[in-house]
Amino acid sequence: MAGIGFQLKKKLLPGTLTGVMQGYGYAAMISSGPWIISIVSLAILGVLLTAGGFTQELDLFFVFITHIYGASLILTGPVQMVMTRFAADQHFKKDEGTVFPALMTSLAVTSFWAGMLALPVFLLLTEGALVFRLSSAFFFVILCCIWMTTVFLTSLKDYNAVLRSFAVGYAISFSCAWCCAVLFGGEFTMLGYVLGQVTLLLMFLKAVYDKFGSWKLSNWDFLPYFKSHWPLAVIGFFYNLGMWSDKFIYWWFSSVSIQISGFFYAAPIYDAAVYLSFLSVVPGMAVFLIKLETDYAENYERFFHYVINKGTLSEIFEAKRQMVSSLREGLAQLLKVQALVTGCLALFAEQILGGLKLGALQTGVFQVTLVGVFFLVIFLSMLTMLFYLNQLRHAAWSCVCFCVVNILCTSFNVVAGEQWYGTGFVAATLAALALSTYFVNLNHRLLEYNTFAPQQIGG
Amino acid sequence: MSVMPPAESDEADVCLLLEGTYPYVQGGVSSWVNQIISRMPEVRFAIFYIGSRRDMTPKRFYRIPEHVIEISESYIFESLSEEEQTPLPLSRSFRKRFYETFANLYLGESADERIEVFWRLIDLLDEVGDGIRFGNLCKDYDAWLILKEVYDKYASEESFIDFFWSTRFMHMPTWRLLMDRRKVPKARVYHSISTGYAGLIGSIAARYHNRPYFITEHGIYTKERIAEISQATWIHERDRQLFDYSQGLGIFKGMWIQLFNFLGRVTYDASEKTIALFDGNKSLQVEYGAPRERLDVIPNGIDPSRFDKARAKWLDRRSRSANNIVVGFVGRVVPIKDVKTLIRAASSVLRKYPETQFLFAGPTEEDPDYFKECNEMIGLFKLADSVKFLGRQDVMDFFPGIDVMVLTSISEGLPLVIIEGYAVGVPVVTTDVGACRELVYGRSPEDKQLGPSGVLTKISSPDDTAAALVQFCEDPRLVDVMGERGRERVERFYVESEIIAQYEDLYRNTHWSKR
Repeated sequence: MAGIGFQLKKKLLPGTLTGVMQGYGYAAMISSGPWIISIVSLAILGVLLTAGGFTQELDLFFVFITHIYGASLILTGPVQMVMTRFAADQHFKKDEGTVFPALMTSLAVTSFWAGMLALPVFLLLTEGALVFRLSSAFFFVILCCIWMTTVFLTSLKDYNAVLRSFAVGYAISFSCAWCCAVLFGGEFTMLGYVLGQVTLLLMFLKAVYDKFGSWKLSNWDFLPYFKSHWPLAVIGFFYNLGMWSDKFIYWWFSSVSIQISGFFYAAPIYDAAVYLSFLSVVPGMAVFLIKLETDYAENYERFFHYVINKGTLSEIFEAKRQMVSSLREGLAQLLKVQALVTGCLALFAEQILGGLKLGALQTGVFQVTLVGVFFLVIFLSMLTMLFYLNQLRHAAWSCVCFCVVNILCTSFNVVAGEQWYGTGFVAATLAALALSTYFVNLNHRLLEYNTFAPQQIGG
Repeated sequence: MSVMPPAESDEADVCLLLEGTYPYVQGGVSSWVNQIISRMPEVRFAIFYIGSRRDMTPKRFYRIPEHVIEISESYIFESLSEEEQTPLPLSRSFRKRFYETFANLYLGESADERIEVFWRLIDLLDEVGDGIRFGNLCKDYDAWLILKEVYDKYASEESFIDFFWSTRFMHMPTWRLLMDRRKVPKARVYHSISTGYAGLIGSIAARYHNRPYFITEHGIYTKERIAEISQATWIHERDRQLFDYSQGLGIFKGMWIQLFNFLGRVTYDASEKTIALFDGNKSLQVEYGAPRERLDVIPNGIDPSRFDKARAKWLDRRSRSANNIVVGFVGRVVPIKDVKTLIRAASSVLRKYPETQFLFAGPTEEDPDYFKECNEMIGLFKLADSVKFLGRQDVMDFFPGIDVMVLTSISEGLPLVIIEGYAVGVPVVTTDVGACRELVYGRSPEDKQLGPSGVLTKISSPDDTAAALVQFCEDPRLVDVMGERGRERVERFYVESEIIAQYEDLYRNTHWSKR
């Protein structure tokens, strides 16, 4: 992602306050835009549907959508990570003819198993109108395909177009869902929503096709990547499972959960607070994108410049020292911004949540999970550093740690009672942050060794 | 050789350790090895051949006789497989001992200390057996720390990436050889025909089997390697002004030189007897670390009776035409033989004695540019009537037709051609290089008593060479007097059968002195 960061940094160069604000605003949009759009449009949709009297369908609609988002992310996560690497390598090798066929192949495979999974689940394990359940199964397939396609969007280098597509797609989803509900009844809400998502997928596909399109539709070159880059698959799976496991545990096992349909449950007390607290990552992600990652990438390159261009060991060591100090500086800035945001939101939690008609218990959960999100932002930065350092196994261990701690501690929360709600997520993000920070430290300490020693002779 | 003690059934009497020579490559050392083996049919030989890469090794040039009972080979510049580059887990205690010892190989204070450390390292390698790979040296963190320490101590101002790769490539052949140390055939005596890699593996095998080890050196391996490295273009050097050698060689060349110096020292130190072909090389061996008291000289030899016929022809010709001198050169027409100096000398001899003839025998195609330049000089000096290149000649035909042999080489070992000329009765005018002084004036007191059998000249001095040749033109009887001394010198000191007997004696007695 450093590519975008560098583009944005150029915007910042004039140094005027408005320029800087614009740059950071833009960075925030790019890094968090897609899901801000989706959350905001869903929230507005929620308000409108409630006003329209579709309360019954609204619960069903939202619980299906959250489950579909969670399940699709967990299941495509591993594939996404590996395919991202594949796409980057093809880009690096200037062998982009394989990109479009590879995307088509992976979409075909994804649609097949997503359909095989979603149809029985929605047809046999849920209740409600058939059209609603069928369109939900279809939405699952489409969403999996959208995640797969986003993998290839970064190589387009046209982030505005990506944002625009998101905006258009969600606008259609939003309006069609509302129109269908009003015109044909609440059970058609999902169908309307899916229409927008299909449009979004088609717009993405067109963008990829315009850049890399070819008539060849099948390419399996990415398959060996699952063997050679398996830690990426582990990362993709456990990171997403970690992100959703606390929610699933609250849905299925907590005393505050409500059965909506079949095994589809909701835990409104927890859910709403957590989703809201996630909005607080926006400023932190912007700083990460524009400052931390770009500085680090620059210094990393400098380090390798000295390695390759016959630097002495002390020059190489000095370059590493600068790498570390730029990382410290960037982290400090990220911490300041994120701490300020988290602090303010925690302080004014009552007013904010009150304004949204949420209760005291939710305010408490919101304040707790805000801390978790604070750790999460730093954890994500550490993960990115591990990617730069090419320490995929260490990144994988950090994600496994995140997931396991989240499951264990959240299970404990659920048993221990309301005053503990949300602390499982905080423990998980803190543990993952600690472990990944340890790894980042270790790998910086061993950087020269890791750079030189693994080199193979010949071949 | 019935006096050889009975051997264990599978054991050879002598294991020869050969690097890049017999039985694959032609040359002086190879023909010497061939001579040693074929003249000792009762001795059971084994051969350990060290080559660079299997696919670059030519077909065998020599047919292997039946009393060579075993041949084993090691190719030390083969590329490393991925498996060999994957480290194996070492036990904590072994790892500590191994790398502590390993560090002292580079950081040790004196050469003696390093040699001692080297043998402790070999013991550690024997202890761990197959449990260690080159990958350990490449990837173990302990090895990295040593690398850094050595870099800080010796090369802290140099490009680290070059230092890194230099150390890897430098250690690779030695490591390969060490890993093949159990492939060295079992024998009662280990005899390497150089120091360097052959010497290293010979001394290791001899120590392992507790058998005597010795060296015969034709050239001086360490010196030759150093000369080669100084010229090498594949070793990185910081840019420096052309022709300014005051800054010395770069650190990476220095590292390779250190390696070969060290291999030489280990080998000389382990050898019970180190044999040179002539006295002059003994002092070089001392210079490169050989203990003086264990040095000996056994020269090259020929069978003089093979030259009896040629000698008769030569004597016959001498008795008939004694006044016009024919000067002969035998050798390749290449810069190291400095043929141009000889042509200049010929030009000044011919001014005084225009009847003199100069005949050049030997291949001219090895360095066509040089040959062309020689011909241009002959044209320029208008010598074409008196100076002739004959190409390859059979020495038996060539020697009877010349009166004096001349050599203007810049460098020589023990030139067999002088001994062959002596066997016919031809005296020599030669530059003072290699064994030439000993061949002209004699080595031992008895040898010296015979008197000079030729004239020594300075290197690249046409005047000196011309003056020496003029002596023979002025007084042709000198040819006969010195030629007679030469023949006697060969018959007494350079007879092949006696030289073989000396080696037989060495193989036998070294063995018994050890048991």
